[in-house]
Amino acid sequence: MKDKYPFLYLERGRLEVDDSSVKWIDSEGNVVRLPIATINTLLLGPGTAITHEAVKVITSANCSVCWVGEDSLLFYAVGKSPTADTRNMRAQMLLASDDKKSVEVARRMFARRFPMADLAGKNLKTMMGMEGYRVRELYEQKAGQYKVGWKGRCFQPGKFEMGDITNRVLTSANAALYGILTSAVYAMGYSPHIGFIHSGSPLPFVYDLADLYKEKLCIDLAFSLTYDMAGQYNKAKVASEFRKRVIEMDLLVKVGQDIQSVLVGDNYVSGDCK
Amino acid sequence: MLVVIANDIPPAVRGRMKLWFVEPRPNVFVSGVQDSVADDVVTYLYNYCPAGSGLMVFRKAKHTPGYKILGLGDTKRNLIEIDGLQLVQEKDGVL
Repeated sequence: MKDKYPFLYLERGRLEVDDSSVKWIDSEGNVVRLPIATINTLLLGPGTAITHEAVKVITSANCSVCWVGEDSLLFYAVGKSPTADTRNMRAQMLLASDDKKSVEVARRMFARRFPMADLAGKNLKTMMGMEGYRVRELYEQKAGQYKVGWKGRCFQPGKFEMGDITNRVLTSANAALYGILTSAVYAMGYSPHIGFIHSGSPLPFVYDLADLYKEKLCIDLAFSLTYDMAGQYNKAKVASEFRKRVIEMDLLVKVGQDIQSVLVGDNYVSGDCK
Repeated sequence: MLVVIANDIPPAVRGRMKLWFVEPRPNVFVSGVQDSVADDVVTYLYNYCPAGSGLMVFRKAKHTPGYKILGLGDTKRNLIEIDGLQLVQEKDGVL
């Protein structure tokens, strides 16, 4: 996994096989052969077609395929070879199924976000309570910093248009972040379904991880844009500002390192997950 | 590890290259030089080889995919980059 190239994002073109190699033909007819056995995941964006034979060859080389939205901001589906390496998922399951270790992981996740807080010996419920308080405080502080009115987070599924601008930016930036993280989690062979803080929701591990990055990528973005957009919600601006921040913080490289360090702590020795 | 393949190299440059490289086949040069020396060698080649040399340089890289390809002058296939990975474009545009 570490030696493989993490992912390639392709859109508007066709994946085919000839001479047993996979070739990418883009919308302008340029042909590029892909060394798929050295690539971890192919992210297929809008307008991609793939032949049955290509899927067969790609999975036999242990490369997974994800279908994603424009610029991989939304995540639709994943295709993985049934024989894909399960080492990481196994490590994640072992930690999640041990109550003591699972709380330790949650504590490391909270400690990342609130380095000043005293979390020693606290259980999950207490820590989640502390988090709620701190996040509300963070909203207030950002609202003050950017001089934006704030009446609290409100999110109603399917009623996106109803929210105020800050809430709308938050909702769409969160969705984009979940998409990126889901692809990353799958690409590294973890399961998005097994979380340490969140539970019950469809992608708890993704929500756990998203919280590590939300302050900068979503909350700060939302308040700074509300100020900038002055009453007019601008979807393209939100997407491009969000993308800029993701690239700036090198999210995809960071998330790989962060998952390992929150799961096993900083005394991680390569290849050893005990 | 540094490998250089060329169509044609000026004799003076070829002579200099022999300081670092062996030439197991005509116009194929192999050497084990590391990082900073490799940088110097590559800069030297870029400065002293004319565009017609058809130079191709392969360098070992620390990070995945483990290599870096550098090309100079007229090669029939274009080197392109998708998400930071170097790939070869075999056929341009016209279908």
